[in-house]
Amino acid sequence: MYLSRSMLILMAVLYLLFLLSIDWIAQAGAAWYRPHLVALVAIAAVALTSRERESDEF
Amino acid sequence: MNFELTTLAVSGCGYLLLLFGIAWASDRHWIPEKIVLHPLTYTLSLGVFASVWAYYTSVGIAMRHGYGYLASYFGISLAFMFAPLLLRPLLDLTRTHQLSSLADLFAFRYRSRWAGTLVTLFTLGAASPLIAMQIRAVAETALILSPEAPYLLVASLFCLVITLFAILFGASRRDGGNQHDGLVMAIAFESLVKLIALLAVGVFAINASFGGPGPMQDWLRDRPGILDSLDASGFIGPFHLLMLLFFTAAVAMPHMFHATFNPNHNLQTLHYASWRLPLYFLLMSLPVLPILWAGIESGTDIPVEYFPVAIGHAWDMPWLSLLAYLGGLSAASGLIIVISLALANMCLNHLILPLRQPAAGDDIYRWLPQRRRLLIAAVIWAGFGFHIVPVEPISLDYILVLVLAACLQFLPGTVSILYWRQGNARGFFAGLAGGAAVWFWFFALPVFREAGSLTLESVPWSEAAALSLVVNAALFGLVSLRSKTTDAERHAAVVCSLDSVKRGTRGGLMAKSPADFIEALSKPLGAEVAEREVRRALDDTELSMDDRRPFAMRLLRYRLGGNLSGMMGPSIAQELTDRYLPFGTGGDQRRADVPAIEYRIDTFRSNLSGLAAELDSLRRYHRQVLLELPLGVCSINADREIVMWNRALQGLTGITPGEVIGLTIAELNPPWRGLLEDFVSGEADHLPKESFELDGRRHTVNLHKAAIDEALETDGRHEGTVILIEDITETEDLEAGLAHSSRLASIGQLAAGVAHEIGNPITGIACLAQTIRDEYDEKELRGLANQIVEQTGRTSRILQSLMNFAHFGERSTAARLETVSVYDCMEEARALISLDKQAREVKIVLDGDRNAVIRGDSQRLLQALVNLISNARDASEAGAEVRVTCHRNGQGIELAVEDKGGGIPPEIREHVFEPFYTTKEPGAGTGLGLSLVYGTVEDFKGEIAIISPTDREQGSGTRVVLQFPPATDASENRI
Repeated sequence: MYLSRSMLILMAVLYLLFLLSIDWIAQAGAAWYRPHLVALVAIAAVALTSRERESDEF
Repeated sequence: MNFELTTLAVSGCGYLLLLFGIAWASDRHWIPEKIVLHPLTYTLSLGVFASVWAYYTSVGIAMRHGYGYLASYFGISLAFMFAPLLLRPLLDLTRTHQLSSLADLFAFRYRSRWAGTLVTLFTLGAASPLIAMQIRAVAETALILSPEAPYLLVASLFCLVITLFAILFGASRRDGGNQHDGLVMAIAFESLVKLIALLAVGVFAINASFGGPGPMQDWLRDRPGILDSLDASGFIGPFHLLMLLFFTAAVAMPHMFHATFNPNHNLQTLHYASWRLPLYFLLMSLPVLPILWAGIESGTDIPVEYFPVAIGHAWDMPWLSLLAYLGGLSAASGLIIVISLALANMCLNHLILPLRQPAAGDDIYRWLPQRRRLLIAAVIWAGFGFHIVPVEPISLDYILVLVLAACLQFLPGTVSILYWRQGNARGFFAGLAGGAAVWFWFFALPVFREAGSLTLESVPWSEAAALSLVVNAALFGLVSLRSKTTDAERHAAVVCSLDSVKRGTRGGLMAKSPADFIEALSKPLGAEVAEREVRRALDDTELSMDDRRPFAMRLLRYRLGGNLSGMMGPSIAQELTDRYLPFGTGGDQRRADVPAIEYRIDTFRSNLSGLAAELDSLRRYHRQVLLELPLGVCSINADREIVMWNRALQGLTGITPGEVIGLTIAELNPPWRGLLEDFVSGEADHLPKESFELDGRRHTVNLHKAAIDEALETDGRHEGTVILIEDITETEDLEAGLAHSSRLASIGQLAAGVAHEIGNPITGIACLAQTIRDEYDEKELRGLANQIVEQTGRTSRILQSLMNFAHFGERSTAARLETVSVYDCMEEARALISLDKQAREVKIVLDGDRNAVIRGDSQRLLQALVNLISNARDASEAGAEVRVTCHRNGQGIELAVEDKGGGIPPEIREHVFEPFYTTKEPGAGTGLGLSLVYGTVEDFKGEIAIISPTDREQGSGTRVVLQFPPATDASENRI
């Protein structure tokens, strides 16, 4: 089994984050780099779960 | 400001020469290996994906679709963030079976040479526009900076240099350059350069064009139309599809496959890249919008895609333009080099080799690279040709989507490899044909049909791409379900699927040894190549040339197939192994090859997680229990091949599991062969006390066996037999010793009884002799009577000693401990010894602590000392010194008697405490003296040790050391 539980939860959470963030990004007068901030949060979440998996597996 | 063409040429060629230098230095290990093989280098080399589309095209997409441009970055990032979905299992497959391209993967999974050929042709057709796009971007940016430059000359020069580089650094290895560290290092450097260049342009765009982030935000606020255009909410559908296209591209684009599934890197490096590569793409995407706005602000008339170069040009900053140009050159050259290598391999494995293979006499290690070099050149120049063919210009973003939509057609087949075992070659062909037809109609045909400039807006690209995917997947599913799947496909599906334990079969090979392998493969490959490949596979599997184990031969075939696949593609490798290394008719191929399964599970252990990982831990625990069991455990399968050989059995036999696993029991050395064969063949499940000779020593074992029922089999067949071998040699020895001791005890009791009975007549004889001596005057008679009295006295002493020894236990249990002065006993013993004037004169020296006391019985200690000093005296030369010492030490009181006699030979040292054991002349000793000493010391809870010789050089001297506990313990223990 390659897909760990944390990975499956992460996928669901990231998709929800993506849907929820669309309105926030599109707000009038918002900073142009808001999508990049959302992406950064997603990458940080993956980095955290990645560290957890590393300790499990290696 | 414009550049001279020579300036651009020199800087471009200089940069590419720098890449040459980096690759060269890495190959010669001038750059430390820890840098070259660092996971960060691998991660950066994956940045090859960010080619011209990331550097130039994304600015154009941002102009037209606002945040929609991020879909490409997000798509490729998601592929790596969720690597366990596709990339990681595919990496396992490619590493295990040495698959170097998607065509290899499909040919391997669908067991069809045509699958590889079709995928290669389709990829070739789709990749040529991508190469053309890179060449065009380099040439057009050169034209922006140097308008008088001849377009074709720039493009040709670029292609020429890149072709040289790719040939030199990509095709020198026999496996297609997969393990070329220098190339990976150069590509990683290129990724770094384009990132730095794009960030530098972005920083300049914010600071120089607008005066900083704040003023830029004010500038945007003044232009609400630009901010509104960023809103990609109207682009959600295409956004998702674009993400899917880029997600698929991580596997389906040949250059990404080549870079991602590099055999030099492992799961850990992929893990390392899982969030660092998305971070890299995030950094790449960050300057896109500022560059776009700076370009708009500059009012340049240069096409929006080339704004990264145009900004420096418009603001008259030549160094920035040059840096941006080199970044673009970097992005384009990296992609062309890697994609040409990947396509050359695919063409060689799936177009050339199926038609013509090297003859047995050809040097395959030269033959393959030569063809690969030609193919690299052909691929690059085909792209060059494609880029000059279209009469009407095609926008860069259209070319990008055209290529990505083509690669999307591989998604159903790829997903099926891992997640759908029912998928077969016919379904794959049908799906690919259907999807390709839709793609051709909507994407390829407009290239030839459209009049005027062709842009993304010209075609319903997102709907067309979605339709092609749906048609492809539907046809694939339907045809697969309705057509027949071959056994080979079914087997490959099991091997590739995620939840497979990869049960191998256990058929016996016709080739019985590595030498047979070489002989068999010499026919298609030639003797030299066959030997090199077999030796390489032997090294990989850590087997030896002498190995003949059936399991080892299967493992060797498996590895050899993988290595040949890396060299010639899976189809040819499969053909070669099936034809020249076939399985024989022996063995049962339906049964599991347990060692092979264990080998593979251990190899892929890091892939297991959740329940599978826990079950594997349980499996390993049970296995460890068997391995550590203090009984010998040997498990054999139905073909009598040894599957398990535990540590206890290794200790007993001296044969390691590595030597014996996979052998049949008939191949074991005596005595194990006969023992196990007879037992396994016999009716009895238990065989007690089987004896045999091993290394000159008699061994005795108990044997037990039980049949292992095959899981899920109801026909009564057995998977094998487990044999327990219980070594009872020591138990047997102990039992023999115990019997001997019992005999001795009986003899002792008998002797005591005899002594008691003999004592009375002896006393009578002594009395009568004394009467004769005292009553008769005859001198001769009195002399004889006197001798009788002496001899009876001696006999009485012997009998008394014998009775003392026999009754020792009874008396000692009744005795009580008392405080005994050791030195007083020493003095008394010396006095008693001195009374015997007939004995040898020696000098008895006492030394030690006069206050040393122990808890014991003074009479018994005195007796022990007398015995020890007597022995020392008898062993010493006349006039020699016997030292009796007592000292306190950490453990209590140490009492020692030391002489300088001849010492005790090693062979009799272990017998000296045995009763009736003596080396003295018959009649001179009873053999009970040291036994009494031993008993006394034991009862006083002390220890006794003999050091002999004390003088190692002379080999002489004996020191008997008695160690007693200190007398501080006042407990009234009985002894």
